[in-house]
Amino acid sequence: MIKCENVTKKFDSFTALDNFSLEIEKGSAYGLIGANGAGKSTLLRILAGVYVQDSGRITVDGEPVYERVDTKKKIYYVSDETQQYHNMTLKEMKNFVKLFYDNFNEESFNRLVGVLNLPLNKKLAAFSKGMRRQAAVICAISAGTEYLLLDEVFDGLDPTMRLVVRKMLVDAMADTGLTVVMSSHNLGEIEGFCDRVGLLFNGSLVFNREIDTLKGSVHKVQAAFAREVTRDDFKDIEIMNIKKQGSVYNIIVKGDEAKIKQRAEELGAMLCDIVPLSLEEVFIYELEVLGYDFDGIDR
Amino acid sequence: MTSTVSTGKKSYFLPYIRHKLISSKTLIIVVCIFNIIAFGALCLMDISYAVYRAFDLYDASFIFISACGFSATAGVISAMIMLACVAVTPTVVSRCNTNRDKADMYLSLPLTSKQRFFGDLITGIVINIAPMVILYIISQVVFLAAQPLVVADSIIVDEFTSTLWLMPLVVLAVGVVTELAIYIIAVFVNSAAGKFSTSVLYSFVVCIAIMLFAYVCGYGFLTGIKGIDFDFSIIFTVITKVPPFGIFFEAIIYLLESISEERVYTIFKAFSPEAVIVYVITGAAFLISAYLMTKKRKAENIGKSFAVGGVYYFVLLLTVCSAEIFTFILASISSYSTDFVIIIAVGLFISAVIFFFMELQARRGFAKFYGWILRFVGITVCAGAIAGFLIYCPVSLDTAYIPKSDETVYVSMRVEGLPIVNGTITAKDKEDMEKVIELHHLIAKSPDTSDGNEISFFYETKTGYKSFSYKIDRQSSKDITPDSISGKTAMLISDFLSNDSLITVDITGLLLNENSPQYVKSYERSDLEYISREYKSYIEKGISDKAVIGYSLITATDEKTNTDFSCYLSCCLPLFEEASIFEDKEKFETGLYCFCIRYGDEYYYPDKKIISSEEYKAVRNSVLNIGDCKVELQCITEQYGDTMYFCCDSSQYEKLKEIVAD
Repeated sequence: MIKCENVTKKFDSFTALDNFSLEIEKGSAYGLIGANGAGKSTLLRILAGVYVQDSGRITVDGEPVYERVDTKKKIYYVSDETQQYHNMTLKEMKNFVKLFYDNFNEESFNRLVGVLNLPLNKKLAAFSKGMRRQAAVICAISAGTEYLLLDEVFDGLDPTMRLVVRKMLVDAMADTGLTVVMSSHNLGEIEGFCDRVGLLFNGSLVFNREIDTLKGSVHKVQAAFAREVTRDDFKDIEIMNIKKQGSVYNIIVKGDEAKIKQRAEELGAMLCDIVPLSLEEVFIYELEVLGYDFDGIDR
Repeated sequence: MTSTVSTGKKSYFLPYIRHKLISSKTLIIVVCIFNIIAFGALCLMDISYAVYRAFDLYDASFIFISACGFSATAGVISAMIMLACVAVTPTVVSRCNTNRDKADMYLSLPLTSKQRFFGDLITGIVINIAPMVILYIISQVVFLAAQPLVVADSIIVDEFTSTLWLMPLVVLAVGVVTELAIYIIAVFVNSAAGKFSTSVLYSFVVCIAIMLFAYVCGYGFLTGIKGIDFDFSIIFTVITKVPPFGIFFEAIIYLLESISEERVYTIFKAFSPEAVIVYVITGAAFLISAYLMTKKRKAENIGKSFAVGGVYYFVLLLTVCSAEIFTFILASISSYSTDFVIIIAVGLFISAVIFFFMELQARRGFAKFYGWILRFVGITVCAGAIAGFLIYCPVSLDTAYIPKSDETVYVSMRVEGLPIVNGTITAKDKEDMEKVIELHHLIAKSPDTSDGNEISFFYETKTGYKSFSYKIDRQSSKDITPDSISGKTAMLISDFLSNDSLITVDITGLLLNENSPQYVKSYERSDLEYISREYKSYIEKGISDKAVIGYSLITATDEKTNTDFSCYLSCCLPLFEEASIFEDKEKFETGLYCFCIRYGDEYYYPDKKIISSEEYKAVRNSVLNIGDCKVELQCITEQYGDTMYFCCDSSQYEKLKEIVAD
């Protein structure tokens, strides 16, 4: 299990993680979402032992990570860049990973290389960005570690490859009980792959929930009322956003679906549809609540 | 199914070094190429030199000199590139210190920073040192194979092979030490750097700045000592003890000397105990600092010019401070106030330019410009304080810096000033040296006067040379009496300083050959016979059975005319001949002799002609029979390129001319 307790990390005057706490169960797939600079990559680097936190405690299976060889053996980190492998061939990259990870699975590596049809003896500098990502993921999966930290791993992959990579990860989780922690701006991938998701904002965790629960707790209500309605009319319901387009109100609310419907009827709704939200929409509305001015961007 | 990761205590240290060596193959290839060129050039030069030495191939010297010249040029250029490669090696090997992506790659590996540091350190050493060692071994195998090809004359073979074996070993030793010194400094810089450009640039800057700082401090220190004569050789003595180039410089000097003297082994003298101690201490300090910085540095600082900011200030102090200290010291010894102002203005301007470029590189902008000004002022104050310390602190060391008798080989005291006070005393015996040193202490404590006699002391110590000059007035001179300094030498010193119509005769003989140490001795009064006798005694003692080259110096003042003259006896070979030592040596029997006679400002040069040793002896005997020391006879033996002076009475001058002309 990965456990972060009151972790703070500052870069000069900028606070990347602010008293951050999180627990990630072993064998789960955890998605980290958040705006740019929210602290996702910083958290992954701390979990990988690249950075050290200024305060707080981070443990993996009860052991600290930074400067701990035994703990780091259990973790493989794929950063958001692949420049570092440019002067290697895929074969050399495999040999490099194999040197440090005793459980490296050669068979799995060969199988995945075959599936993705990647050249073994060509420099990675000559690969496309997507191919380099695939190479990194292949090595990561084949490393045979218990934890995989993936930073923007779907970045640069075409939709087909995203599916393939996602399947590769799912298979690895099923086969080896791998725990995956990934950050991504591609919320569709997070939604399709992760069990839980955490939203980071200004170095703090806004929520940490199972995706299904999260999606079930936020609803989009499209309703038409005979009179004007305001937030005050929904006193006992948490309104995240309310907008009127013509006579139809689009209301983003948190809470029980039946209760919302009942309240709308009490207010004399002539029409009331409750539409499920995608993770992306939840992400946007949550950030809006936190102060992100998307309307301002529109203007 | 759940996998379990092996968590055994397997170390990844060696796999890491293996990976680093594999991933540095481009650098290894470059280093190997230039090592091959440098060693190839060295071997070519070495073989040429060995053949030249062993076979005395004077006629073929042009070919060998050309071969040596070509090889030396190629070797020096390659060596420079090799040293540059050493300086950039840590930057290339430890890319995770200056590249964020590489940091993600390496810092997440199951390795501690300690393992990474020592892994990188060893990788760099192997990359740079291993090719040198391997090439040395190959060169020795080649030489061994070439040995049977040499004429089977055991002496020649010995001569030939001893040179061949020794030269590459010397180069290997000096090369390894210099490369290690540069490498450790570069590791130190790389451990603190956050950018590739900073790591490379400052590796070179620190290497040069350390030498510069040592030079400036040595210069400042010596400037502060009253009376000491600034002599580059003293500064050089300091610099040659300082890494990374000290031993390298010293070795080059010994190399040049050894080639002319055919004593290659003397290059090992470059590894003086002082130099080795300084190298070990500074190397350890840099290495420990580098290790601690690697442990403490934060990966998020990659991308900044310096990940460990303190090192930037260290380098800034080292470079800008050196320039400013030099400025202040120069200004402090300037005679005029206008000079003082100009030196300070120009020096501070140059320092400011260096500071400006360093700040611009380190901070990439003009943000917080007031901070720049504060830092520059801070450094200037610091430089002023160091310069002040260097200039004024050694005042208390004025006498402490004077060598003690037990560390002195000989000391000479020379008095110059009024025409009739002019002479030199050279003391070699412990008792005599102590008296001269005692006087030196007395004079060092007295104030300088601008119009007094100039008294200079020259010491050859066991570690080098030191010379001092003071001005003392006539009254102070007279205060130094035999009562204040007792003993025979003291009488002489007293005579020197207080007797207005002094005739002093000082003869300093110097014997040089490959077996005997330098011999220097002074006499109150002497003559040519005495010198001959003295030299003869040396020969009889068996100090030399080969050629002895020497010179003698006679300084004297003519009481009647107040004319001082010096008599310089150089190349005493004919003198030995007179002592019947070398009569059977063929090489002294003939030669081209040329005579010159001088009296006052007049010179008489008869035509050059080749005469036999018998003819020469006849002339010499005639000259010696003429009279006492007034006229010089100069004899040039072309074979040895030396000059010889003899003296005779002025009244016999014309007669002497006739003798020589005949």
